Amino acid sequence: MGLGKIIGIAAILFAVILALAIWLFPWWVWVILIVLAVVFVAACFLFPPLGAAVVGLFGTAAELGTAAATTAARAGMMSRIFGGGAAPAAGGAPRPPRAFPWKIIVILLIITALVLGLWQGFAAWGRGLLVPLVIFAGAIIAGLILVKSPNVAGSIIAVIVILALEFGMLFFTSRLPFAALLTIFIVIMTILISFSIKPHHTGTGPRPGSTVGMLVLIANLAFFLLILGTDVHKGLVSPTSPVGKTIDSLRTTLLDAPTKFIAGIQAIISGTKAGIERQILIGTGDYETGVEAASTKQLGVFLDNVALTDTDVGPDGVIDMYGRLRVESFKTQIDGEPLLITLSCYEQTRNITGEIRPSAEYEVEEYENFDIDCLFKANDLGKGSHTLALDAQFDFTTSAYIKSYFMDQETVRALRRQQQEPLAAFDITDTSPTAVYTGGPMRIGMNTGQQPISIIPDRKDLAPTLALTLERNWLDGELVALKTIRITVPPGLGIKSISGRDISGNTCTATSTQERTCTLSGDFLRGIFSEQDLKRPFTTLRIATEILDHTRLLGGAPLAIRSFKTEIDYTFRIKKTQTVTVTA
Amino acid sequence: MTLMKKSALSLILLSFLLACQAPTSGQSPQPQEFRSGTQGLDLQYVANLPPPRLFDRDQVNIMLQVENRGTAPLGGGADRIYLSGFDPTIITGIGTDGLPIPPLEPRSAFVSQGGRDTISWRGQIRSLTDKRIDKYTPLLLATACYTYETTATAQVCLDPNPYQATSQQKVCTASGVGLGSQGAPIAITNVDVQPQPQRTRFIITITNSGGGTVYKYGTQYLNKCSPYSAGLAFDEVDFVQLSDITILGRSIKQSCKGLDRDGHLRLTSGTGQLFCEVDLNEQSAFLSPLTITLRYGYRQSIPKPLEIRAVP
Amino acid sequence: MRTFGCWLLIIGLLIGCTAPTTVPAPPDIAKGTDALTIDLRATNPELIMCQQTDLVATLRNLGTTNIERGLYTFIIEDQVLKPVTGTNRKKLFDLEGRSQYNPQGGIEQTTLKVKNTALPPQIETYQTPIILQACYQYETLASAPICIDPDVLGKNPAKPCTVAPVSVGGQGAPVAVTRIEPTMAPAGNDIRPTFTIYLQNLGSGRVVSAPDVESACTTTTTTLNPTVEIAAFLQNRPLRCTQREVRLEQGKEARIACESEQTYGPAQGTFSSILEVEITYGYINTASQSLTINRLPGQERCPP
Repeated sequence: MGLGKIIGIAAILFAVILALAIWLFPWWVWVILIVLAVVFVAACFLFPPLGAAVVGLFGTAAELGTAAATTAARAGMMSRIFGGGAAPAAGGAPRPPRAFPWKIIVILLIITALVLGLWQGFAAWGRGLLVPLVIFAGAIIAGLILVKSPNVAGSIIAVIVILALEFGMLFFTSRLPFAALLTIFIVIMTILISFSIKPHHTGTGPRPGSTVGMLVLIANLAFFLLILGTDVHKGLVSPTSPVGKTIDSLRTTLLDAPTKFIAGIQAIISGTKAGIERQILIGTGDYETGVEAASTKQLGVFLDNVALTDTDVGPDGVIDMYGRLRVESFKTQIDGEPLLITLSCYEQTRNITGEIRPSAEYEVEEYENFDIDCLFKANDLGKGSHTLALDAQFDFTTSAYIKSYFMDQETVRALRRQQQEPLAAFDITDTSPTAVYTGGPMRIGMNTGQQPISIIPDRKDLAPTLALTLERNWLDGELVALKTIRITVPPGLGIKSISGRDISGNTCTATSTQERTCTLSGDFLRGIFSEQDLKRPFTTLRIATEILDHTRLLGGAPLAIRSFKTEIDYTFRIKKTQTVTVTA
Repeated sequence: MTLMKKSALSLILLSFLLACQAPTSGQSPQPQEFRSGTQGLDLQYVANLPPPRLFDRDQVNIMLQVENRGTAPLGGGADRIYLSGFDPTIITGIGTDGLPIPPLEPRSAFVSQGGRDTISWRGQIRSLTDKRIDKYTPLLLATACYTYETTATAQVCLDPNPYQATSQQKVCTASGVGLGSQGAPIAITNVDVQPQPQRTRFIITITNSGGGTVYKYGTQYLNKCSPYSAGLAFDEVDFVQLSDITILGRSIKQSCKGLDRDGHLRLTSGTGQLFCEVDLNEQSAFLSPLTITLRYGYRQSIPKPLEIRAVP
Repeated sequence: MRTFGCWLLIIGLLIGCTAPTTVPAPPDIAKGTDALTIDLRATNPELIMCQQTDLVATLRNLGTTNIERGLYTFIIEDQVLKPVTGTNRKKLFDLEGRSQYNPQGGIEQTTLKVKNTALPPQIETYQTPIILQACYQYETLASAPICIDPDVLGKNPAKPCTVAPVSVGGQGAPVAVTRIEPTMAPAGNDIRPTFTIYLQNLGSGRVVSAPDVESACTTTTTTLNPTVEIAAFLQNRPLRCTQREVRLEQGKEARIACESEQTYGPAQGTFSSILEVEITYGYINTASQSLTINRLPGQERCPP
């Protein structure tokens, strides 16, 4: 390998370290490091003895002989670079292969470590001073091993480089989504790659590849045991430094990972189960679909940006979990009453409640935002890790409609006899209308059967059946209560029964547009929806209608375009959690 | 340019030379060979009568120019021209009886152009607008039905002893005579002479060269020629009647074979052959004119597309 | 001199080669397969909730038959749109057909003012169809050139026409005679022309029987038979058809056979004539448009 290549590789490695450094250090430190690197490299070229000494450190000078080294030094580095190799030694001895420049890398790392340690020392006295001392000591030991035992030194250098790269990648990915998975992936790949690295072996001893792998594995195990099992890192690294924050993030991610993993598996299982159940019900005709209405805003009540001001709090401290309560709703009132949102926060396992400021209850209109804080006394929680929950319970209304087409049965039959689709005869392309529901925690699917709906003038009993499916749209919330269902049928139709239950006891009124609206609430609703039903992912109702006025229904035209509408008022609860640690 | 000028000048001079032949003085006009051509009656619509496009509720005038380009007299009698192809409820006033062909002189030795005349019809077009018909496009067909005659004379060699061994030179050698056409639609194209001892046989080839339909001679057949009749039967069409065949001053019609009992010869694919013979008493070969006269009825048609448009 | 000669030659050629002037022909009226065309628009296709808009329909009669006492109906979603007082959803109309005097055909424009009365709750955008259906009686007068040829044996080779199937183009009406197959059926010594007439609905609408046409635009329909009445004439005499009414299925050809009561003998000769076919039926045309209604922020209900 030419010397140019050696220096090139060294430069690349140093650049990687500098890239890390740019995140760790202030800019002026980075400049100093660059300058030092350039000066060093230039010195190797311009000051042959120094260059020879560097090369000699690799052991090449020992193979070539002192004369060759002197010759090389005299010839200058440039010719050797562009010559692609060393000038043949006097006597015509062939050029031996060169070793990987582990030693140059060590030197560069030593310099980096020195600067890093100095910065850490300046940045955080006391506890912070320990870090650079540790790094410096480690670098010295590595250098000594390098000098004394090249093979072992080569392995150690490889390990240091690998670990530096690994930690750099962990640093960058610690704040990304799926950080836990990425961390595990990076660690596994690093270990596998390190087991496969076989640096250039110049001696006759065993190849050091497996040594590198073992060292990297040990280092990783030690690192993760330390940060996951103990708080030793808190004493070594300032928690406010980027390194400290990275370690904290990794720790949180990895500690939460099993819980999230299990929760994820459970969600997959329940989702799959719900999906299978849904498919079964679709197949049996007991599940109706819908599409969410286009809306400029996402409707619902949301807890945004829930976080802790401090994830580690002292025993006398105050834990502040904050967030933003956001309301997007078209409705200002439900059942004549304003939209009410009730907040609560608590520690999940021991049910210790916190104090919500400014208020735990809000009456809202349409689109509003509120910043809220939930406060706990660390003393109340006690030492250790705690999961805090902030939840919002609110009333909400979801609406839906489905368009339907009514035609006289004879007209439908006449058109079908002529091999013509009845709706196509009126240039209607949407022959299978889909229910449209507004956004929010619940979803409504509706269906009125094959279109168009055939009406026979003399048969008032042959009226369409409206199928209604209520389903949770937000899977990470829960339906607390179903308060009211209002079903509106087109003019000329009335509602006879719901899922077999006669509706006479409920209020049905005619609207100004001659539609009939039936409001289901109270015992009737409880009869349809038990507590168990509220926990189910979806429920389907079948609403039997009757024709009250055939002429009004058809409107004096060969085709009548009508809509069925549904509104449901319900109480829904959403929850967000955060983990805090109360320190000793 | 100079070359072009010279060429143009040469052409002009040449045309002058061809057109302006000096008359030979002292010679009387010679009779021309007039028995040639395959046309009998020539039919032409007079230009713009009728015009290519007419309008409903208008009068329609149709005029035909007729000319006898043959060598037999034509017209008068039962010869008629009929106009057909149109709906008589749309174009009214034109009868189905046709119009008689006026007598038309034939060409002769001293009359180079035959007789010429015109025949016209006048009709009335009914309204198309009432029926919301945009246009009516009939194809008018003028059909001429007439009787005609072909006369051909061939100089034939009669050799009573064709196989006699003699050193004496004969006047002529019996052989076929090609006749071409005779100024009639039915042409006697060839007379083949087959000499035998004391007898000579003639094979006479007759061809329908006029482009029309030939049928039996006779008034009853003439009437059937009309497009408004039942039509000529298959055994009435493609027949010519041998009027006479004379040689040596006598008729040899009786000797002719291939004729039906009415003296008609059938033409197959437009051609027929007649076999006649003459007995000879002479001793040596000699030339003699053979005259053949055929009679027949002839039908020819000429179409004229018409467009009648409805106008508001 | 040379130039003058050249110019003379050119002028001479021009004069000689000038195309003969012909009398321009009047345009063909009886063509096309359209009857009534409807252009339906809303003056404001994007409507704000509770506002009103005009639905404008332009009716044009592109066929050759006059429409008399036709009926059109606006079909709208009553729960969302209501006609403003004074405007009528149903109306009778008359519209002249194309003719030599009026090659463009009659045009009429009609307007229905509608107002949005409500939207389903919380829905920001709602699309509703508006449909105009027109029902009217119509007639096709088809004429086709046919050949009457008593000479079935072909005795006369020179004929002004030959008996052959005739393909007919559009006749200025949606129900068209597509082709005619004539047959000269022997009747003793004469022939009796017989015609197999093929009809098809080539327009974009639906055929109903003429008596049902008005009820087709209302709900009081009992049956909607797609039947047409047909009559054929030859030389102003009616032909005897196997049936007077023919059922015309959408997209399919119907067939009817008609024969002449009169026979034709050789005395009439071979001639071309015109077969006239009259078809009477009801026709329904439909046009639709989509209207979008947008709810402004804060709008909940429309005032009564």
